Amino acid sequence: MENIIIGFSHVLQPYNLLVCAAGLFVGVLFGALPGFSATMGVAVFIPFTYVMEPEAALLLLAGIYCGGVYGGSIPGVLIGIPGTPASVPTAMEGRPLTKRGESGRALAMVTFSSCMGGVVSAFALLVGAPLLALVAMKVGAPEQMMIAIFGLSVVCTLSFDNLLKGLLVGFVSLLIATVGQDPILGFPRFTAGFYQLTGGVDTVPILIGLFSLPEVLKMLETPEAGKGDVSRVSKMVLRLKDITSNISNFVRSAVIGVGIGIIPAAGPDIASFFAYNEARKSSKHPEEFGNGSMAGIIASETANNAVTGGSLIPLLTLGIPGSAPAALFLGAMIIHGMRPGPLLFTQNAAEVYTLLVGFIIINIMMFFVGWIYCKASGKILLLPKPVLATTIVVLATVGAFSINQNMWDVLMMYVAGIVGYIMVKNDYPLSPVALALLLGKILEQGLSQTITLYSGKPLAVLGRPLFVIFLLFTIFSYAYPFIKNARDKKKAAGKEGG
Amino acid sequence: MQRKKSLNDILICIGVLVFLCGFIVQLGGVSKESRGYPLFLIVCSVLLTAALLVKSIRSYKQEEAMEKNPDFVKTLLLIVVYSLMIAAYVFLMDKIGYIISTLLFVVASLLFLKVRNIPLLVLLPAGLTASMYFLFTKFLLVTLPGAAWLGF
Repeated sequence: MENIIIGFSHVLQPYNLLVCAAGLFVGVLFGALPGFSATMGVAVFIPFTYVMEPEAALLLLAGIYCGGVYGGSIPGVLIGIPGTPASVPTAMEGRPLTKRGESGRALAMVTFSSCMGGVVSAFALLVGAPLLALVAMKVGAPEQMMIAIFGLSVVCTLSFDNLLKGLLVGFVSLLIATVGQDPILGFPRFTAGFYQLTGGVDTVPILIGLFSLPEVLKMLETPEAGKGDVSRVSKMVLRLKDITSNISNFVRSAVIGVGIGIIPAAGPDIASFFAYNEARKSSKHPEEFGNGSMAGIIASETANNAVTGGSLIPLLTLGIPGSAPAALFLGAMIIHGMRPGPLLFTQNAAEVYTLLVGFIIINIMMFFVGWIYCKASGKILLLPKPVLATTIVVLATVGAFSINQNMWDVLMMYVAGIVGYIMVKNDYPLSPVALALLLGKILEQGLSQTITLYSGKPLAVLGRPLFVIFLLFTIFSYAYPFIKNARDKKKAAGKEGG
Repeated sequence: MQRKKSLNDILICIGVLVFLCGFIVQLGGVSKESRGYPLFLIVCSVLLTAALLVKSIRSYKQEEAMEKNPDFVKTLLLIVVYSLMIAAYVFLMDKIGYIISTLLFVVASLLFLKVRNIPLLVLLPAGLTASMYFLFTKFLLVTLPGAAWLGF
């Protein structure tokens, strides 16, 4: 308790509060720009922290990290282009709300949900870190494989109305994810002679193209495209009813986010899809999903921001960086003379508790910083369509280039954009592409390691309690859409009969 | 102009099958140890594509030809030309550099989209190109493409 008070006293110093706010402003910008991410923001700003005090340095990086995860949703809601893969479900729901003139309501909820998810994860980090770290220790290749399979069940739920097309998109995308070095021997495969594909297909340029160019091309379809259509920017309002009717959704999504966060290799993108899927399953109005569902936005945003704190738990308590941002935090901590692990909480108590308490404060501040950003960026809807379309193309092109600073990524972005447009026009869902590309590599790696570990005794894998839990969840998750459909049909038949 | 909706699905299925053939041809070069997983995905993809193809052919036979939007060809042409403009922008970016290619693309795009406001035609290309340049090179430390054809 004494350490927590010390943490508060450090964070609440004006300089540190300023650093938190600066980190958030920078982070949101990194998240909002296509091609950039929270991880890149943290990486770029580590050198800036050399001259700072350790507490301020960690707070700056934490601010960038939290802001970056949140920021991707702003362009997702406003123009349908998610800044990061974690904002894809938010864009799927936010864009229809914007088209209906409810962008302010959507952005307000995005900001509030992100703040809530972040605060919950910060408390999990502060209170439950040692306990949750033990769970993280139990996660191995079989569990990661099962999480990937579980995650792919989202494809069934999201495209149940058009299952054949959804599954086809999912399988072909999983196949595309196998391009590059194989996980066992490391030989390149399916590269068709292109050396650029040796490292695999980069997910981010594909997603930028998939979600940006179809929007641009759709703008050209409408007759008023050349006349300068001015959309209505709605007022930023947070409706109490939207919050009170989604309490369980908030709690469930935050738990999913923290849980996914502590699992190595799983990040905010996977958490947001998981939570979105669960929200849809438990919703009384699943038909609203895909057409501007507030519950979908809440689930996605709460979960992806709840990952932030969770992802630092294995690092701070065990010294194991389970994700890219955590690895960067590890680097920054070592630079500032700290060594993450069990002794960190006693040897560097002041710095660590400043970071832990800082996470709470940063996530609360994110509400206000996000509100300012949303207010300012909402004006983007006032741009005439020709200006908006041109700006999106330039931003997507430069954003795709900046990931690895090569033109190959831009080419991939362009091809993905054209394919995405054809898919959209012919009712092929885009979300399975994002899911399969994100989960494909984890799935294959987990599968090959599990086969190696349990060759000759496959049933022994059932001796892993977490694996069994995930297996049961997976079975339920795949069966649920079919069970629900059968139940709905039975109900409808009963009503007609009665 | 009349066209049946299922025809698009048939064409897409054929395209996907050709794409999958590319994977099948390369499968022989993949080591035995790491062939199983992609082979499973290829088999599933081929089966799903075949199922969709059969379904689409059946619907094609039963389906009434639907009336297309009279502006269909005009819109299609607009989209194809704009897609080619983006392709040219992507192609030229590392040949004539970020600054010149972006200036040209923004002006061409605005003119193509029927913007005739002179101040906008001057200010937007200059402002957008400059703001992106400073944001990415000075703040985000990204080196944007130089002009290989122009020697810098």
